[in-house]
Amino acid sequence: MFSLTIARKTYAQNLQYRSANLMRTAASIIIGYVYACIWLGVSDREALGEYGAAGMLSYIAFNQACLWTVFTTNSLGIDALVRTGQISVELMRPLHFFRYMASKEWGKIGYQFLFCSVPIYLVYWLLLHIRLPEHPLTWAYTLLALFLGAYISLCMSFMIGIVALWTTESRWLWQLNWSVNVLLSGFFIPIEWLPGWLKHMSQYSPYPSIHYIPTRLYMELSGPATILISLGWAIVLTLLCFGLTRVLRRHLEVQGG
Amino acid sequence: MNWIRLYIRLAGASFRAQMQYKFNFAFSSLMAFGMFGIEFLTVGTVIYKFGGVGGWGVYEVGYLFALMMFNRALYRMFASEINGFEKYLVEGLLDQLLLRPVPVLLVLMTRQFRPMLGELFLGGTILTLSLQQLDAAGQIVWYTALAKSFAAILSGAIFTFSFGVLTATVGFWTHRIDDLRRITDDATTNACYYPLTIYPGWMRMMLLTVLPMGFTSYVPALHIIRGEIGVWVLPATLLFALLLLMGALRFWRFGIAHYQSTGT
Repeated sequence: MFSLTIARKTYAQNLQYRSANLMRTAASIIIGYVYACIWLGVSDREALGEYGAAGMLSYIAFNQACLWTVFTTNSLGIDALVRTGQISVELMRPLHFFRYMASKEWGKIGYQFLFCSVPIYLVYWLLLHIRLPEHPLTWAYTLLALFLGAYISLCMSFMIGIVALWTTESRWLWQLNWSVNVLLSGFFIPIEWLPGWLKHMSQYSPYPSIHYIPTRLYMELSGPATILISLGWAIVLTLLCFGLTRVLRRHLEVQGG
Repeated sequence: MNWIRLYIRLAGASFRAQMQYKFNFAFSSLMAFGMFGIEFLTVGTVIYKFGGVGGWGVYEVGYLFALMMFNRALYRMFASEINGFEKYLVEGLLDQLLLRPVPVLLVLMTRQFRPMLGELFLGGTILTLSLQQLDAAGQIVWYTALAKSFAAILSGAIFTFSFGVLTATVGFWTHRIDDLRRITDDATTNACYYPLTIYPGWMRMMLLTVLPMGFTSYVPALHIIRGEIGVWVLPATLLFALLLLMGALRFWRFGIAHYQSTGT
């Protein structure tokens, strides 16, 4: 209940910046369109496998729309808490630190889903005529996979934030993680088309759960059983986050503020 | 001349301040190299696998990417705070700068001076590799192409800087500019990593007229590595960049005269 209240407060806080959000959404639509144009450019020469040119357009457009749902705050803001010493206050709250940070992030994720992902999706649907699922149940599977993808991304940001205890700065690591995510999550290239070693790296990492699994489900190219992979990673990462919080409590050195 | 000496002094002080955190400096340079390297690897993989995009091969696209990397590095090196100008307007920090006996733009350019080693090293690596491969294919002569590339980088950096100043100036009226910057900088830069031939006519036209970032990489590359336009395009592009810079500086002076502090 407490978690829900925190998430609602963060959602309301983000709601104050709706108009500023418009430009960001517009830029995101353009960047997604650039990626789609690259795929349309290469489709002049090849048929693009089981996707086809129209399928790849839908694949890229859907990934771009989902991006804002799985795009979590840099290190969940933990590095700033470490630098200012505010983390000592946050650790005293009557809620587990991971749950507290995750609840705050869920509010932002909910906001970004409604005010970024949905509008981008609708624009692409109207202008690029991206494909819609044929079976109503596909929507439910896709949303569930997307929810797990956002959670996995949140856990990874939390773990990167914890690194700030040793470095006081984790911005660059977070950005590097995001670049690796773009490469290995299937955001721009479907995983089966990655070169051999990258494909293996991707398959044994949690990254495909962030983009590839939800998008393949949406396009009805994979069955709902793939959600189990995301679920497995969500459990593993949750355990890691709880473990790291224990380390954090023991290691913490409060900075000047 | 005095301004240049002052610039070197202030930028040097800013750099020395940052070098107090040597690990952070080295780590951020390494991460920038990794981050943009992965970005190129992602798109390069697709282009290599499918044998080109919009009639351009992987090394030609690599050349465009390298030019954009240099433009970005030079812009962020000399004008990092123009890129992050919003905080000066929103938090009222500009008031302090207005009191100094130095042009505001010059003070901004000296702040957070960073050598952008990660981006420059990556740009240099991809540029060398691309020119070497294109030379081996008989498409260019590497040393002439390299010399011409310096001219393209210079005009590209002036273009990028001018756009940065124009966007920042809008902030004198709107205060919030980060989101506008996402379109004038992030979206257009992203689009110009690739040949404009992959975009539909309206978008190509936009990148050559309304937001002419196409002149930072695509247009010079048409001469340097494709030989589709004459050498005249290089001085013409530089002239266009200088005209845009003059317009941007004029707009800045007009904007700063209309500045109203937020008082916070």
